[in-house]
Amino acid sequence: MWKKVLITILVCLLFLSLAEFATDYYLKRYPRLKSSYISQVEQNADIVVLGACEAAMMVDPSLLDSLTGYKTYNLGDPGARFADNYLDLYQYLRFQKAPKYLLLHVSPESFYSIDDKLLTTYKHQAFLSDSVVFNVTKELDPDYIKFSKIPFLKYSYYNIFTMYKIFGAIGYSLLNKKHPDDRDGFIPPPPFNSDTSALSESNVITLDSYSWNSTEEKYFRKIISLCKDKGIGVVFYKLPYYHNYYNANLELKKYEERIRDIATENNVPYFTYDTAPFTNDSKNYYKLENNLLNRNTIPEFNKMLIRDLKDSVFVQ
Amino acid sequence: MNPGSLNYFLLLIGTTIVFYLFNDNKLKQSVLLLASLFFLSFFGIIPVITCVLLSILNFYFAKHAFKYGYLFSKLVAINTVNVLVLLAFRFVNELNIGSLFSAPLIGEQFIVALGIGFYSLQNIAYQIDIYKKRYTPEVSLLSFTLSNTFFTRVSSGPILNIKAFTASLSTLPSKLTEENFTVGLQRILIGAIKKLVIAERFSYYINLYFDGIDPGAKTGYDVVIACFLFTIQLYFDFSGYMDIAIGSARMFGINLSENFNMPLRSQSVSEWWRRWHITLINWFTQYIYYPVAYKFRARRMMATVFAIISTFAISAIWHGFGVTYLIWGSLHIMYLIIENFLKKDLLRLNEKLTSFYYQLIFTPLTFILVSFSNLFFRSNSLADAKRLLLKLIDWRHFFPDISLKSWILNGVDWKMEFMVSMRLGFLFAILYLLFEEKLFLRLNKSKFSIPFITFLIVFLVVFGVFNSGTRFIYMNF
Repeated sequence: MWKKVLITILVCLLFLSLAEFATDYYLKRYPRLKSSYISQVEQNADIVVLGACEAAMMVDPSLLDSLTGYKTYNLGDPGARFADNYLDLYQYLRFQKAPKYLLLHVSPESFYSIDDKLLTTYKHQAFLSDSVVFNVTKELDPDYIKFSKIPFLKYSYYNIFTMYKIFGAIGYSLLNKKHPDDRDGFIPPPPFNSDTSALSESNVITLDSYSWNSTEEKYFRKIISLCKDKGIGVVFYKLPYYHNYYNANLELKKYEERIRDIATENNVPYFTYDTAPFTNDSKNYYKLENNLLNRNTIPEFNKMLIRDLKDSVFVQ
Repeated sequence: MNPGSLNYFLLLIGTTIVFYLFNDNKLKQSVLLLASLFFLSFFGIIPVITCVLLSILNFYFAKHAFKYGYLFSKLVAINTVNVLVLLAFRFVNELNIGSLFSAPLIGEQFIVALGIGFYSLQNIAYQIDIYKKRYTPEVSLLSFTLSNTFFTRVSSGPILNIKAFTASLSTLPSKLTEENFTVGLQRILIGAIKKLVIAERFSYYINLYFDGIDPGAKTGYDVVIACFLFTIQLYFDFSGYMDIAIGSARMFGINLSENFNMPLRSQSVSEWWRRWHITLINWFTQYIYYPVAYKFRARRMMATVFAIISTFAISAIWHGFGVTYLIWGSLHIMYLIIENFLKKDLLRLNEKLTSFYYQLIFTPLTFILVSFSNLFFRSNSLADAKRLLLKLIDWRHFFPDISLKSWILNGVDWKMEFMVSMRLGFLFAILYLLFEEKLFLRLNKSKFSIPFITFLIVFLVVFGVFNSGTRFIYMNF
């Protein structure tokens, strides 16, 4: 019997190793994964936009390109933390020429971690063999690293997120699609406007237990250092908060000062838009996120951002 | 350490190796007891102390009472203690007092005395059986304590008959046979697949819809999906745990009772309860339903009604003090009473329709009725349940405001990962349910099949959701 058990273990290891090899192959070539796409297709971008959904869904490179004459790539990644941003930028610089400017979204909430998840590990699985990716993952998700030693578990550990990507990667490969629908990296929010009336004054969420996460700051500073090393000019920006939320959370202003101190320390401009006229109406927002705008308001915000970039950054 | 976690399997492998190093039966039982106490200690010191103290108390009390005359007053006294301790811990859970204490002392929140709901019922039944002279008291404290603490089933059952279990301990095998190993491993693997491949995939939606703000379900359609998915999740989660418990025990040559018999195929609510959580229902039937029905036997139909009410009222309280559990229990009381009154009509209808058409109508109907009751079982509060109920009956806004094409492609939520994952889980659940009977027969084959076990392992690793942990729903009880 034990001979059969041994054979079963070996056959399982063989199958799972083959599955891992095939998944590595497909995911590294999957255009909808930004880290894979930038490793395959040259971008030649002058401006790279970085951040979570506040970057990916809110900054439109086509507008920036048309109004500035620069070429922009949006490297933003919904749900990303600063460690993800750091790894995304590291990957970008591995395969692409360094841009002139990095536009990084930073808000007090970027340093506030609700569930202590400081890395969305499943976004970097295909590149785990790289030592930088491995070390960051090992520091921030040690449990995952333990499991990832078993063949294929590096993918199935976060199965809910990974399986969808694997199906997508195989589909793109079968259709021989080399580019994603959003080539410049901009992922606009869905066209329909959701009901944002719950953002009204009575429903404002107050962050009573707001705390500044030092690991977030560490990776935030690592992004700045990486840019300095490569001679990239860094610009911080923050999406405009819905006014009720901003006024109800006095802590935000305190922590915003802390961001401004880091910006001053590193000689980086920090653009904020909390007094913009559209912040007074919840209908200008997308879902109940307090700072995500809907499709109608995004161009207005982008124009304000471009104006500031032109006035304060590009003139230098 | 949850059953199904990596630590659990390390404990199982280690215990199996040490267990078969010894030939002496007492030493084998001691190994199992030590492993069980070690398992319980992962949830804090309180589960260990509670379980051991209640075992010692019940063991010596029964022995003493039997020797000097087991009076009814003695039975009431010991079972009052058993019930009060159980209720006290339920009360602690309800008030969430556990979270006020430090984690290492009390263990995980909601599991302040892991498994107490299950071994308390065992001890109560044991005392009644000794009082009624169905058995003589157990002579070995070691075997008795092991029947309460046995690590493969302590957290969520199955509920054991202590005398039958301790009898099986007297014939523990001297070596790991191919039959025990193969059947045990296959049951463990299928249990892990049920939990990690199917049940876990539904967690995101169910948690979002029941736990979100207001709660998360926005339309009546969402509420229906949430209730259906929760019923399926609960089955795969709980029966997955049972498979792991039964398979793990089989490694030591111990046969635990089956707790499920394809309940999703039930054609009536009463059949559902004969197929769902069988050992708990058997307990309630034997120690609540029959005595009540017997006591009121002169009142004929009303005797059945009283028995149903008593059984489900106590079952609801056993699950928790919440009003939502009481409503859940009341709904089942109502279903069963109506079914009882319509018994003759239903039999006539079954004769008129062929069994295929009868099944076609009554299997989905039973599933819908049970799922509706689960709206209350799963809701965090009465207010949440009320809000969900209002959405369910708001016919004007029942369906989400999206096109059919958009629903097919994206689902209600635009987070495609979750939608794809949930639909994949649903597909696996349907496939499993279609072949459940054949698979169950295959799982009990004693010959080690390399292709079959390789398939189970590869399927589990490729499609399992491992990051969400392996906490089972019924560990809360």
